[in-house]
Amino acid sequence: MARTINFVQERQRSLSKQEQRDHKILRQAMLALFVTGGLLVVVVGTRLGMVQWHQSIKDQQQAAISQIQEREDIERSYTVFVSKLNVVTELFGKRKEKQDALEYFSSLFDPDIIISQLQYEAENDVLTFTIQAPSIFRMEQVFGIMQSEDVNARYPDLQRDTLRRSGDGSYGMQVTLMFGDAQSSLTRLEGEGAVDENGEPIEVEAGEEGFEETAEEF
Amino acid sequence: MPEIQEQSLRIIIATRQQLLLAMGIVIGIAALIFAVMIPQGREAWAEYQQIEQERPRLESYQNKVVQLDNIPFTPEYAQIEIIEEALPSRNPLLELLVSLNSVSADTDVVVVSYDLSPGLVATDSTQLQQSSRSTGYDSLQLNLSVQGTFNELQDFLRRVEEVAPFSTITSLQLSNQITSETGAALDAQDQEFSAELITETYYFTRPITVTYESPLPVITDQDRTVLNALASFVPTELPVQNQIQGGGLEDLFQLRENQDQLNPFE
Repeated sequence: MARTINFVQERQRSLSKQEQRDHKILRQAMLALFVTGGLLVVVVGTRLGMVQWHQSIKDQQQAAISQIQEREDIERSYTVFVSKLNVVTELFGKRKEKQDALEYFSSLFDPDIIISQLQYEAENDVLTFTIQAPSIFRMEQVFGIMQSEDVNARYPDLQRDTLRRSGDGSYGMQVTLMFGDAQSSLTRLEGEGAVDENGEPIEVEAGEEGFEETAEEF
Repeated sequence: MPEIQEQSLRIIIATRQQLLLAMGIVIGIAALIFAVMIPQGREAWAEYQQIEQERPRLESYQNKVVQLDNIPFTPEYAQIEIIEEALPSRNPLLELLVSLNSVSADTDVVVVSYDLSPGLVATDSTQLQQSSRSTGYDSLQLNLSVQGTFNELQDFLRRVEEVAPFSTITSLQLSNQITSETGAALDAQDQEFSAELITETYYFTRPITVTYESPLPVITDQDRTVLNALASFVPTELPVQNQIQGGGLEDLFQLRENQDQLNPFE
């Protein structure tokens, strides 16, 4: 029996299968196109939304700036007011320390012992004053009070620098007080080792304990 | 040979139309992604980043507007005059002299002399040096020579630091007791002293830079305490001059009157 060879049928079958495969691929490509199109719409929409949002924020900013400009006088006066208040607070704090110290030392002694000289450096927060006593015996009492626990507890960094005798027989003792920042800056200076313009170390002389008599005053 | 190739191409196009269309779609998708989607996505992201930067700025603007609206109703702002008097925005020489005059009158201390330290009439270089100082304020130095009893001087020293404009005594030299003219011994309370004082009076002329988004400065509790303390300060009652007092336009320097006095017989 002769075998039938039909190439056309075989070819048609293979073409049909190929067509089905291509159709499937096309459908998948179309699906991908739709998905991509959808994503594109989302991305472009997001971008447009962002642009609009950004513009809206800018408009609101502009409106707020206009409102701030309308209130410029209040802002100016308030800012100057607070800046001045800060400066006064700073000055007040420094001056309060000075006033407290003078009030304290004035109250420590009898009326015949007075604070005769005063030097206050506001920028460095250093107060120097001279306690004047009419006689050496009264000055001795001053020494005792100045070395008392109460004074040391209140002003531990108090320096007694110089003892002078005036022509009228009165004695004056110079006292130096450092408040707040001055105290800490001196401590820092001593700790770190300061240098001068040439880079040479500066020797910092700490306050001398005890008293130094100046002969020229006698 | 080219004819065969053309025929093959036609056969492929005829038989694999769908595949070719799918390939075209894929190429189109790729083109869309790379040419449109990615740039658009980047643009959207950049916009978002900018929005994220702009939003806090907008919030700070809006907060500032609310704060500015509330400021006139704050109790601290109601005391702005006190601060203006304590730390004026100009050199407070006249106010200081008026205050010292009133303090000396109240305490019976005699102001013998006063002089201003150099700097009031300063060269440009000095002014430049002043403005570059680290402190946030300017100061006016006044040297004073005063006389009074010890109690009066103490009262004077205390009250000088309680007047507006804000002043502090930076130097004091209390000299020996002044004896009476007759040489008679005085009681301890009546003994007079003379004192050399240097006072520093502060004023504020520094520039302040403010931006729209910078928040308004905050008043701390310490500031409030100081503000309350300043309320007890004695303000300067400097009379405001709105018109020329005395003299006159007809005889501005009173020459006729002086001539009459010089020649009484004419």
